[in-house]
Amino acid sequence: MKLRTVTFAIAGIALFASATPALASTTMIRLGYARCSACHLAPQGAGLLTDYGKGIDIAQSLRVKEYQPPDPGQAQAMRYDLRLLTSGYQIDAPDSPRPSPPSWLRTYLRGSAAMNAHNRIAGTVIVEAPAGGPSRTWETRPNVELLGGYEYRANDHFTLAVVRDRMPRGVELGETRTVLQEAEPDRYPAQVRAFLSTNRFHVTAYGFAPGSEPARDREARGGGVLGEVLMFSNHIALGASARHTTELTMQRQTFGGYARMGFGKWGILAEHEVTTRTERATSLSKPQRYAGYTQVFYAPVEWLVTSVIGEQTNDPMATNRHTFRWRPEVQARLTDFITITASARTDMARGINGSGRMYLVQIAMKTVQ
Amino acid sequence: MRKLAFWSICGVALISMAPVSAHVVNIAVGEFVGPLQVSDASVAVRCPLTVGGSFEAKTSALSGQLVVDPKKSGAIDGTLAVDLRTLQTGIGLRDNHMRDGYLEVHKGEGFQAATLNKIQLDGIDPVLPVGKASFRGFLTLHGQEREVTGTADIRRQGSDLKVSASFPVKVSDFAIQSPTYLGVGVRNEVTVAVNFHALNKR
Repeated sequence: MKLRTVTFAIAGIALFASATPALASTTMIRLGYARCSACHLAPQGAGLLTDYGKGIDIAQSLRVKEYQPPDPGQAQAMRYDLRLLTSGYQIDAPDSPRPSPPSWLRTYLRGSAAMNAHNRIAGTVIVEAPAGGPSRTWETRPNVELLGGYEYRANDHFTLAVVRDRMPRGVELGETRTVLQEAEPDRYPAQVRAFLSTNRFHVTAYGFAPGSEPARDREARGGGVLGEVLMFSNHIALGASARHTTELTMQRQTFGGYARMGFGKWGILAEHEVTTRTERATSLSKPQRYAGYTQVFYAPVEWLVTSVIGEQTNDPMATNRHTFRWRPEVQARLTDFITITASARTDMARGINGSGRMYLVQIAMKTVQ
Repeated sequence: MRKLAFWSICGVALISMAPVSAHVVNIAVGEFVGPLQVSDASVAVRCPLTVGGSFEAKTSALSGQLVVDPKKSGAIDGTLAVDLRTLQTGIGLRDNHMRDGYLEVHKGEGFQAATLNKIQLDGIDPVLPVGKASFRGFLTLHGQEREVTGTADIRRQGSDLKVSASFPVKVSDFAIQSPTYLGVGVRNEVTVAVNFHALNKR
């Protein structure tokens, strides 16, 4: 049995005095918020909040108070915040599979400048310490990512964006990575995105190209689309996705379905997909990869969300063909600038006895303008 | 049977809002004699946001008694009332804004509850008041009385009726300030949906 504990280095973080949830609030569909654009500047959600989003953010925290924008009479052209996510964990893995430890610290400097009512540029600098404990910070260089781009919002129904960012997902969880994303060709590809929205339908179409050196070497590019329909007074969103990826040696076709639903205090988020693979040189079909994410959540009070999350894969080409991991999770939004998440994740793989378990506590903080 | 239908409709109308006071009218129609008592109610006001999406203000505090007057074709006596002080949207701060800033329930009677009365059912057989119908009624909200129209689905459950009804309400018609919070507003037209059982008290 190997046991390791990483303690938090929060003292310095506390200087920044504020924070935001690590997870995008996809669970807000339980209150009828099926679209992200009410609370977030970007139509796909995550990232900087609108004034209304800040108001909702603080209204749903343990320390409820009225949010006062810097100048209520004027729209803010410049928005920014600094966000810190620190993790402490303990891994108990007598046998494989052993869960991968998270980075103990990620920092985000996020900014947005509105040039006028329709045009906006945004950028995020992510500095991520190496996975593992703080001691590795001095041994290994941190990973630095530059994200962002330009966005043209024609009206409430159409937005066009050119960005380097995560791939669009039916269940948007911000920086929380799932097994679905493990097979993506690039973590932050360059993209052209188009968002079409009506009261009942949303469509996101995108094309992507390499956003990193490894992806450029593999010549990873392609395109995809997500479409969803909203039902039951915006309490259910059912959608489907398709993506075509071409790389130097392989072509991939991914088809998936997803659902976001919530009623009052509970809800379900689920996204499942199948990827077919073909060798370009030989046109030989490779076994399909399946991946799925399911989250059942319950919010006993506004500031506390509890969840049980299951993730599974079936990939004959992977070292562990069948994997399954699940975790109970509790997320507490203490104020509009600090959120604490605790979980206990169990990893299992078919054919391997035992399981690995990781107890994880994350504290997310952000500044509030 | 007609009485049942009328009562169902009345129930629907009440959903919109009103205090817990109830009028009792003695009536006898077919097998349904005496007032119908509202029970197991739920009221949901769907509020679309100007930026897309919506939220609901919900309560179960609907009360009232309805009586079908066999002499009036489709007319229902009685009042449905919703206690507006119990409306909840899922966000406590928003509840406070809604009750104090817009519905102004602190102003007392006429503001604390929404009532629906003078209900008239149309398009349904008053002898067999089961099925889909339209209705008219007078909604008193925020100290203002306006006529509203909507639809109702009335189903029989034993000797009682199960009523589901909905009707649109224009916020501006009731002298309510346009709800806005940090740049996001509620559209002028909201939809009231009411479900309740009308218990035959005979």
